[in-house]
Amino acid sequence: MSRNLRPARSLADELRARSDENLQELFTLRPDLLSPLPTDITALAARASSAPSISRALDLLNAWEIQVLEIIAVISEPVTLKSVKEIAGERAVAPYEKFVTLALIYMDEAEIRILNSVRDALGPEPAGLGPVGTGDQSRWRKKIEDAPSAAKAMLEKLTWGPPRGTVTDIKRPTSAVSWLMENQLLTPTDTHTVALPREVGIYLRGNRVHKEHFDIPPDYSSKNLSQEDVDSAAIGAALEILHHIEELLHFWAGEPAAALRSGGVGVREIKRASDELGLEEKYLIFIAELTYISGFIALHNEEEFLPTSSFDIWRNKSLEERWIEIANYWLGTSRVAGLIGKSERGYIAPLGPEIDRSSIAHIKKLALTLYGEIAPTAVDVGALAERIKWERPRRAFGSHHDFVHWIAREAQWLGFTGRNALTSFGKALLQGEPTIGMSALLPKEIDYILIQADNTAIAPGPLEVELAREMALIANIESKGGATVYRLTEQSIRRALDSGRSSDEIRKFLGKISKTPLPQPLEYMITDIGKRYGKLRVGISFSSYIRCEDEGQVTAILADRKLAHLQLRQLSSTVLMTEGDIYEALDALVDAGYFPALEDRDGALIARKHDKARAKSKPRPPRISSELAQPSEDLITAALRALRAGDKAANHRRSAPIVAGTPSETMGTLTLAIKSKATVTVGYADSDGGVSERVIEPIHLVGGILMAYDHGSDEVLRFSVSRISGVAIVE
Amino acid sequence: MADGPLIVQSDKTLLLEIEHGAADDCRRAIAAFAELERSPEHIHTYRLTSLGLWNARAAGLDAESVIDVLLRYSRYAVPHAILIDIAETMARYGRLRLETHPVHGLILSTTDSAVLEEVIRAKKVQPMLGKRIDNETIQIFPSERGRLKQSLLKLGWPAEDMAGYVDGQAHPIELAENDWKLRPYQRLAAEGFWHGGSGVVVLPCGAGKTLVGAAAMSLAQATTLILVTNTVAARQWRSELLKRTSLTEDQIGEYSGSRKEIRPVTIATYQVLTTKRGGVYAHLDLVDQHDWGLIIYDEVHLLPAPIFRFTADIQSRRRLGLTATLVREDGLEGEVFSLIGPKRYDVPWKEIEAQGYIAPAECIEVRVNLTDAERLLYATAEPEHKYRTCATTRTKGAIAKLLAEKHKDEQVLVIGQYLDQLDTLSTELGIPVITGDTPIKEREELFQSFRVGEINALVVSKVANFSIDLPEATIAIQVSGAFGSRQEEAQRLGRILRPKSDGRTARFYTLVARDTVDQDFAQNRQRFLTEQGYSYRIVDADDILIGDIEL
Repeated sequence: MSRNLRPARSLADELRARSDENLQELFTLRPDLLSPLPTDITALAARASSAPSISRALDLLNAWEIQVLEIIAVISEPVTLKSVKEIAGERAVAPYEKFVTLALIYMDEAEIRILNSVRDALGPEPAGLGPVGTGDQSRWRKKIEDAPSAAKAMLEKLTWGPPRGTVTDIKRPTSAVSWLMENQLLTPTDTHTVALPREVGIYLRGNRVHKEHFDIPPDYSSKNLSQEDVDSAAIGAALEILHHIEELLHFWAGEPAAALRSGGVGVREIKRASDELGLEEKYLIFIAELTYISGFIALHNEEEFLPTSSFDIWRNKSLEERWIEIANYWLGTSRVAGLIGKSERGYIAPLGPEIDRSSIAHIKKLALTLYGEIAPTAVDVGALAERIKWERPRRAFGSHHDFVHWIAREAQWLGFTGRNALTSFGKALLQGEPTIGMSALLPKEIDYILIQADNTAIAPGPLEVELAREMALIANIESKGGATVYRLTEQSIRRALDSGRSSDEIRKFLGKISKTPLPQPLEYMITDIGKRYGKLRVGISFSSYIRCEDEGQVTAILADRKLAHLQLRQLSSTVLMTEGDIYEALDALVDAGYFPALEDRDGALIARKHDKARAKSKPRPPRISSELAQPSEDLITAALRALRAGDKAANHRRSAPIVAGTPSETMGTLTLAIKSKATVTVGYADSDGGVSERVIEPIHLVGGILMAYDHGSDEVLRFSVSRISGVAIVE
Repeated sequence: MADGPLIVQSDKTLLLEIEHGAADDCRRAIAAFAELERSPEHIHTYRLTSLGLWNARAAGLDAESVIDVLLRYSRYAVPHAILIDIAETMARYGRLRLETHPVHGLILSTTDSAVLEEVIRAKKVQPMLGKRIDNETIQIFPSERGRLKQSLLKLGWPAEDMAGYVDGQAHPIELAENDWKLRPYQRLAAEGFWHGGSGVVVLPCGAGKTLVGAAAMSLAQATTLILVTNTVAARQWRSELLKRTSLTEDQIGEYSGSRKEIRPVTIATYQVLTTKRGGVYAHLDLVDQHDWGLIIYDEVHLLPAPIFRFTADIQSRRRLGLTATLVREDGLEGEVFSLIGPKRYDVPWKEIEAQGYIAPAECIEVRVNLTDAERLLYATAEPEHKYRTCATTRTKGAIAKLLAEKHKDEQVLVIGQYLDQLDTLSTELGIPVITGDTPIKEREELFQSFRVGEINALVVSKVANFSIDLPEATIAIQVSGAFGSRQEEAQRLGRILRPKSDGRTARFYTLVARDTVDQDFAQNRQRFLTEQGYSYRIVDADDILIGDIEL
């Protein structure tokens, strides 16, 4: 092994020599290097080669890049671009350049150096190859040809991995194993295992590292569509989900969903809501989750979920604003609604704590970007999953296909995609454009309804927000979609009266917005209910009471069997008393066909709110994400300036050389530094044997352990004094 | 179409704006696969159902053309989920086929053996299956054809019935169109049925369903069994057939409680067929011991359960169901569809009215007040007696009398549910009463004198709900009914819908006790008619009593 004697370049040297642009590029690709800000280039190099940071960086590589990296890691030294290309071909150049930019490798003259931590991250058997062997190539190559057949078969088995084999006892090997070991074609790794040395493996693979090169990204496109068709299919879905969010929350405001003790809501609540709204359960669960991640519902008094005032604020925005808001929450969330439901680990509850997955936002963004690359061509979702697996092989896991299918389904429900292709407004949102042009695609809002003899009212298009809200109060909604079908019933009119509308107002409102004349029976009904409403009053004084000027009605109520459970007692010819709850009395009267109104102590009518229950707004559930926000350009520039300055200072400091001392000298200097609150430079042996230089502020020293603030990592760390090779106080 | 007449809702309803220029074309296009649910004045509601889509497939329509119609006429984007659902639903049809095999007889065959595996594993299906012939074929007991089809439908794998129909014993029947002509919709209905093989025709009361039956018989040219609700109806069918077809007296038999004639065309009552003697249906032989080429079910919405059962046994015979109101409060519409056959023809009442074939009608609900004593009685009544208590309030008598007097120059029917109420009314108003207790002969005489105008008012019970042809009746006063029955309301209106010689508007009064269940039931009863585009007017009885209102 020939090694020249000039001092090897280190990663720190390489980074220090980089241009500003070059470093900026690095920080854009690996934002974790800036958080927190390293003090100088040495610290930056340490951070860049730390295992967690390397792991993040490798997560960004596609399948082909991983293969090229493996090739660099396994082929014999000296590794050069030429030797890599011999195995990987011309297509290895782009990955190679990317690795340099990412600081996974650096050049030492013409030789490629790969960071040890990158090697570690690739695992003990990269590309299924065994440990590095020691042996003279020329010797074993010849031997392979005249290997006995049993040995040959064994080699063949080990060639494409796994490169290990088990033997009963290494001391008493079979003849084939023994022959192979003698000829350095097998290496014992412990008493029961032998392995094929890496060089032998590559040779047996025909001077290849991988059986197949994944250098072509898999195709995932399906049908060609026009953007217009895609948008028009999606806009309906987008409108619908906005409606359904409101509907669900109105429903839960009236009948709050009980929270499970273990968090989230139970199957029954979901079933109830999906029956009530006539929606498929999976879709309903998704909507519930959307409202949760948007902060539109929150746990109230630890027992039930209620809408929050954030919901009310959102409701008053335009359709486009509303959609952008929830679409952004969906993009950023770490919650995976698809996981909800029965699983091997039991029931996973919606709005519960178990569905955060840190990588989902990243996969989602990648998926939508891939949608965008071929839009308006439709995506084959199965093939898309394969493509994502290729793009981010280290992120894909067992249920990867499920996750991608869920993303595709949710994107469709939201109207991000239509007919499995990205919409124009979805694309605009992804690209962060200020307006996404959704409004132009929305059907025009209308300001009228058509009332018919069967007491239905139809808005043949999206009704203006104010009108829609009023209609939803006065009438029950029977069908939604492009149009809305309302039904006016006694009960719905009473609800409006309860909310403080007068029958006159209701009639006028309907008369004003209906293009068709009000049917006479409807008008009659509204007037009739108005006349009856409020004659019968329910209030609370010393106990709940019912009063009515119409003595006949009082007598009838007293005699009514349906009301027997209220245990009414007559106080006077116009007043009855009940022991029960005032609302119980009200509901019982309504059920029995009467028209009671609630009054306060002064006899004034009180509006009874039907869907106004609200929880205090709480922060939205946290995003659990391994992704760091992309740092802004300004931030990177500032960071760069600070780094260069820190580096200069460190160079200056380093002029005071570290004195290698005896342990007692080291202890003395450290104790002094603690007393005088001085900063010191220490030589510290890390676990893989290297000695790094660190700038620290010692805090205290007990039992051979030093606690000190480390400038490089910006945190307080434990140092074992026995590993400190020397100390110098920084002046 | 950016400005189309149709709005496709996410709950699979289709809203059709009928004032739109393209509404007629659109209606014709969607009627082939969607069920008409409501047809009030401005917007008609259709619904996409699996059954409707499968029927469309049976009629030769594919998913592509259904989707094409929706996209062509839709004003807004059609929800993607619906398009997928249509394609998936329609793809389920025809994977299974019922066929006649030269060797094995009736067989169930498939193009997709996984589907066959799935259905033969179903518990309900197993007992109907015979020998397994191969992977794709299995033998079926011919008697199980109807029940099997029903079960397969419930499993979501409707079988395409290719086994065909028996011709039955031939018998020449011609329409005698000498001084009359079959109306266009009657012809369409009969042809729609004939091409479909079996099925139900829905036409408003008074629109001449009997003639659709006659036209169907003339297409079948075979012996026919006609099932009707009662003897009076049986005799009406008979006289109508004599008048409108080439059939002669001796070719038409009546099979009822009083007579048991079997002729090439036999009219039987549901009652006699469902009469049990010694625990068995003694007269069901009539159906399967004879080689009928056609079986007609009149008022199919009233079909009693035992008839359903035997209908399942005769799936190889052509079946025609006739009704005005295919709404059953018992929810058995589905059974009607799967056993008799799908809806072959349906048309909004108002459309027939616009063509002048049924009389325009005005519906008026009169709200009467209970007296204080009645209110107390009502409040204390047991729940099961509440309706009767309020529906029979005395005030209704006074109002009915007033109305009858007001219309004394017209033919008036007073219709009610409770016999004592009807008797009282009969006495108070001085007009004869017909109930279930009235002998058939007397009934027919009274109806006849009413028809010719010798008497101009009758009090009738529910016996007159159906099939009674009283062409000149123009006024109906309903005092009570079978709770919230929508179809009864429609049938009763139907009594006065025959077009009048002077083209006058019929009037349908309903007397309702205010603030009681009577009012709630009335609202439910009116639903069918309002959904057909009829509008009610509500007036206060007090205003009528003091003469303060122009009726």
